[in-house]
Amino acid sequence: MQPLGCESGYDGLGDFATVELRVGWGTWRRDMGERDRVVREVVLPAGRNEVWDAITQPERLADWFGGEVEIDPAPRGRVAHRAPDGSVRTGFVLSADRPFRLSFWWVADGDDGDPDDGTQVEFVLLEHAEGTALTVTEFPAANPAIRGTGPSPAMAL
Amino acid sequence: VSRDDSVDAVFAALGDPTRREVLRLLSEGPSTATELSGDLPVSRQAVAKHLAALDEAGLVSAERTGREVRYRLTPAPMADAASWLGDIGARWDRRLEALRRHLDRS
Repeated sequence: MQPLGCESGYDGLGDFATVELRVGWGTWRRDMGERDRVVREVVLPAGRNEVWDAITQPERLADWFGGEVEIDPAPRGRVAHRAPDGSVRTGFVLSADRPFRLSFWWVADGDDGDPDDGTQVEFVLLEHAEGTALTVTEFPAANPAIRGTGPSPAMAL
Repeated sequence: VSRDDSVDAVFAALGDPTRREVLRLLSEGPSTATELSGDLPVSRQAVAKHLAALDEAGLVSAERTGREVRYRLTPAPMADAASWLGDIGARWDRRLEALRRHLDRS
């Protein structure tokens, strides 16, 4: 990543309620009142059901996600990922609405497993002339089980 | 201070238009609260409060020379905050590219 240019970091912000930082890999946007988030959108050459299978079926995830990953696409379903560097993240599915939307919360295992460092991931699949427009959003989020909008804490991990 | 807290502090500091203007002015070179208030529609006392908030977030540092306190930009915390999200963004860039290749094959 390129170092952040101070000038470019603040230009044109004006009085809007959105803060944008332009950095080497793209734009980092924060709507004030929300947490910072990463958003990526791609158009994929496949229908929504096909993309849904690719982001939920173990043998298909193994081909692209990187490392070992398990996502049980049902509310409270288990999410586990062992990255190629050995780091592990686990969590659970928040909502699964095939073939439209899948969201889960996960957090690093072990010493780094501060629940405050958890993040929420959302996949949204929309029909597109060339296939499927897939949007992935990841943003910091406290454990939904603890903040009381998800499964009970005992269900969390 | 955890990484997440410092990211929050940076964004809280950036959330105020006057503080962003202070940062923009400081990007032209170090300055004092008195000099900055000459370029801003707020009092020296208000500028001093904004500088204290920016200092708290680690975005500026104060240097005392005699009776004068000059502030300069320290962009590292913003770069840290950006880098943290940059890591996550880069991970999804790799994964989505791999997902596209996966779908091309299947």
